Amino acid sequence: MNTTSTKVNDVMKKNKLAALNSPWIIIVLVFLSRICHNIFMFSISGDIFSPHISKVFSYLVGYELIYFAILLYVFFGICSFTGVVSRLFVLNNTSDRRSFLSVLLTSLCFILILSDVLIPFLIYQFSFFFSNLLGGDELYRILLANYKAFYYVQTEVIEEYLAPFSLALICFYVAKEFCESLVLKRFSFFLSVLLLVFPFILALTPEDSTLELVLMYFGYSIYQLMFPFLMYLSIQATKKNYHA
Amino acid sequence: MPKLAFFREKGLLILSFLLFFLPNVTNLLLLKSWFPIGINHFQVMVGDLAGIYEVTYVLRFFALIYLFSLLKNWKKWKYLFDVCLVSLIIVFVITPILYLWLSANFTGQIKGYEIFRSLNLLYMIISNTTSLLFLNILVPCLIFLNSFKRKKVLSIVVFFSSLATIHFYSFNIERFSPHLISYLVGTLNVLLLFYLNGVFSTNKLEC
Repeated sequence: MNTTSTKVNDVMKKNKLAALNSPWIIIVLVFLSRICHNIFMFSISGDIFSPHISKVFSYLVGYELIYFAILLYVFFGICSFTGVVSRLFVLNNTSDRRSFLSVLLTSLCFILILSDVLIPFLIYQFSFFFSNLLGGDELYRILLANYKAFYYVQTEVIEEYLAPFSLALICFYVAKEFCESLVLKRFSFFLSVLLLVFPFILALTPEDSTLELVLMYFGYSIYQLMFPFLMYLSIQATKKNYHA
Repeated sequence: MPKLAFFREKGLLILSFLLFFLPNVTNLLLLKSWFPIGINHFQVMVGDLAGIYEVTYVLRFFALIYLFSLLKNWKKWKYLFDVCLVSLIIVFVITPILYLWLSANFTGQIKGYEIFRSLNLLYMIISNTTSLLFLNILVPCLIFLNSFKRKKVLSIVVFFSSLATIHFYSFNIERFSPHLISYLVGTLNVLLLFYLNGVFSTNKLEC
């Protein structure tokens, strides 16, 4: 009985390791899930971010199914990212308490689902109602106010503070504890610090200036690139833990 | 445990409790009220300090995560604690930020009293519903499940006091006392969860 269970465990371990030996596919898939919404928006409207609420529906008409499929793909991308990184925390935890970083990862998963799946879906619904209203309508203005509030939570709070700070802290921890290459470690620290200070730099730049726009696109690119980078770090570290 | 580590752990615990209540303290200083108040008051009192408000809520988010990371028995109750944490983030971080932003930005921008009242009412409903649903129903039920085996009488008392607050709950913001009682019982519930799961006892931390 014991021999059988040991064999089963060995096979499972080998399968997991086999998945970890070719991690690039999953990294690329997760990275694509992070940017597919931007690519889709660019292909239909010419801008990587969602257009104004009054125009979203007119752009999305006829593409609804693709849009929902993209949101579903984003959702699975977030789940895969969390799964890959959390494996490292589970392997490394011997205490009866969870580490701060593993709870942070759970919360990051939740806020990413809220920001990248639920709020875009809400925006689609708002936009649908908008298409039936006139500009001077009272309901139009109420919907506009609500839409702006949700949009604010998505962009200014989650994408500017909560998600980058959480990513930076997790990356800092993974690099500090598990990274053996000095260059990679320093690069991770640099990216983490950059993500931590970026919102404050943006707050200090003049509003609606070209500099703010350039900084915003630069910060957004780093934020999106942080996901595959963190996955790469975690997979390397997990492989070492398995072998150890 | 070395002395330094002990003080570090207790210091972080106290700091995270302080950071959790920081937005309320800011409310108290600027608005003379523990909770966020009417939309028009916000605009007058907060003014250009909305950025500081945001940062206080971001700090509360991380404090909440730190406090939940101290809970023991996570393998068995991991998912219940996660649901608890997510509910509390919705009630204590996401909804207040929505409400705050609405008050700080829309009062000066949207003309017309009717739209103002509609928005205020809408956010009041969202705030009340999430408070009632999460703070007085979902979170107490989860905590009751977790704590019943170890402290039967205490958990029954706290759980039924939560149910009692639902009976007295008022959606009218003018009646302040039911909201205060609901808030106090909610806080008591969370403190019970922390007490029963070893947050106040000294143990080695992983961070």
